[in-house]
Amino acid sequence: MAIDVVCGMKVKETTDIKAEYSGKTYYFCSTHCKEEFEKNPLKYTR
Amino acid sequence: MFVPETSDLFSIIDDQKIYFCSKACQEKYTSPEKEHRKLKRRLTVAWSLAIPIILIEYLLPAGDVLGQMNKDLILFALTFPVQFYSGLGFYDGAYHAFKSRSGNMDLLISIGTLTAFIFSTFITFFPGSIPGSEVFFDASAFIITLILTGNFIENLTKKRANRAAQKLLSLIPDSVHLLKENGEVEDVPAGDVEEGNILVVRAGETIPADGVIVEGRSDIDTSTLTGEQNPVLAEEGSKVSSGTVNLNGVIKIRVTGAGKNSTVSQIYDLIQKAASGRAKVQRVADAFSAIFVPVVMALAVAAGLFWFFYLRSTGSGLPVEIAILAFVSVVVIACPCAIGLAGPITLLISSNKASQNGIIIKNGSTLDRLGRVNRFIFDKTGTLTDPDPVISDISVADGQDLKEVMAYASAIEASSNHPIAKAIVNHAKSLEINIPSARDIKEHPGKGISGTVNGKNINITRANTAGGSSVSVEIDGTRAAVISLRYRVREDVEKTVRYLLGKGIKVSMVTGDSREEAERVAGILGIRDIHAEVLPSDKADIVKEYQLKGDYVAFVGDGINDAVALEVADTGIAMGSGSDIAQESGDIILLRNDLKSVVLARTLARRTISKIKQNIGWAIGYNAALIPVAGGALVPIFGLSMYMFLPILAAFAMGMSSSSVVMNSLMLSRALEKEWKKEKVHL
Repeated sequence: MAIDVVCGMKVKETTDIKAEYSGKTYYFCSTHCKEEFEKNPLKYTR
Repeated sequence: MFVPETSDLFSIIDDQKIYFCSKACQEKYTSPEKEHRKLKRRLTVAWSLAIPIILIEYLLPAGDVLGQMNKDLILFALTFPVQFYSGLGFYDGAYHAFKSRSGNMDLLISIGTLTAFIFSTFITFFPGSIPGSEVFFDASAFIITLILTGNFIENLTKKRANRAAQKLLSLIPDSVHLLKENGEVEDVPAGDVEEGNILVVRAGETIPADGVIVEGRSDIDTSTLTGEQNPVLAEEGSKVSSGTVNLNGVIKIRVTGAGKNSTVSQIYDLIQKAASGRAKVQRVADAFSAIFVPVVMALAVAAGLFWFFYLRSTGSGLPVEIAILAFVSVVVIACPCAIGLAGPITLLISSNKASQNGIIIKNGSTLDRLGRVNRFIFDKTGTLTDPDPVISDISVADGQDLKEVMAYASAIEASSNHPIAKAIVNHAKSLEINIPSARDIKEHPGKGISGTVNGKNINITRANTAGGSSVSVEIDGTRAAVISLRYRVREDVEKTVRYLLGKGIKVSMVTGDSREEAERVAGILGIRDIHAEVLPSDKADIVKEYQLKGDYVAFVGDGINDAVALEVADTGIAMGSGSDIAQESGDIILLRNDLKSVVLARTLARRTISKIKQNIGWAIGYNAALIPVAGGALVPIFGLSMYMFLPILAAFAMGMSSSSVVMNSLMLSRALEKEWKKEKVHL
């Protein structure tokens, strides 16, 4: 179980909605959260 | 509270799936009033039976008139309704938790009380089967009663915490005056209002929907929405918000947003949503909750087994009874309700407090980042300075009359949308000059505008200067006046900026304006880090550059035009124009046109995060400390007889744990008031 770094929800790692950043994979509960993440990944990963 | 998405306890609200930790939580959210009444009923039944139960249990000696078995039967009969009516909510939630293979508070309470009840029932109907054991119906009855009481108190205090949001909803009147096409005014229910309707709002009435004034002018009291004390003048063309009060003139408005689309409704929704955000520290609580129930069950079983074997081996008697009581006590005392409550209740109180001061927090998770911000980047125009220029000087040529020149100038400028034009027209209006009509108006893009007024040729040339603009007015070819305009630095901005700098926070400014103008404004405010002549699309990149250097950046700007920069920053603070909150980007919207709110928001963020940490620490510590007690750690001191009332004490402790978290969070409100008061002195 991963955590969506944008909204804090728990997400299964089998989801299609994911993104790579700095060598790590991040999973999201929705495309909305993924889009938010992609606007500025640094904001959510530090 | 953390809920796995495999749970089927969810509701679909506004196209979103929202999950709940227990049936009670779900009902609280979807229909709070109904839930509150149900809780009240169950609680009343519980207390009216629990008291006789405990009186009979302890005051009526067994070998009396009734006989032991009869006494037990009476207790059984009294406890039954408490167990299966008052306790109903717990079983429902427990069932859902079981189905989704996760644990929750309901499951623990159900297991605890049912164990006690079933054991006692067994003893009642098969007396003597377990030697020496007595019934303890009072334990299960009181566990249910006390936990329900805790929930009730929690409910009441949450309602109180949500006062600001609820007040908002109550602002919308029940009926409105609709202007029909035939010219008649009819009173219709507020819920029937649609976009495009024309409504009449009389003096003293609350404006029921967002709209644009099509007729009339009046002073509007916006304090209900923003806390802003000074009334705002609104006239034809002005936008007005639902929930504000029309003070002294009759106005007709064309509705632009009604019902769910109105500002009041949007703010209410945002306040509620903010409470469901998750601060980073809450993830600790979530992780804890996830493993909690299985761990507790294991500990409870371990405690039970320990006492059973220990008492049997030492021949002390009552091994089964004590084992069961130990099991029940651990299960009950470990109720994780306070842990799940800590974050949300604090965020609820925080977002309510913020909204009372015109600060709308869109998402609770933003507060973490705002608390860490060490650099504020301000957009210049509209944030640090007035959005439009104002007239700073009018120098009139010899032989010309100021009011006459202004009349001519504004007659021409009235047809232009240029900010300079608006400034000139506004100034004329403020001097109560009658603006004559003009003909043959020609705009010369980049240069100015010209036309004819009362037979005279008026030519207006606009030029940019350092710090603003210079407008030259020529009448029939002769220079009549030079009007100087500048972008005035807004009141109190200097104090806010110097306050931030004084706290060691870095401040930067970005603007598309010229370097000269940028430096002029920055000089007044004490800002050294200036980015001038920046393209709108580059603002976000500037934010990212600072972030890459390790700064936590807050960007303060316009909610619509600076959208990208606001989204990229660690915290985006939009100076709300208040026109359409739903459209504004940013994590925080400031409804008051007041930069001090930026400081207040930052203080709020830090205090809220620290309060959440306090609450979570307290809730976890409280539980952790009491589990050994429930398991029997104090038995060496107080003796085995403490188990007679330990389950009840455990229930009391747990009922109170959530209430104590709630009350501790309420103190946040007070603490913020005090700190803000101190800060406002400097701002």
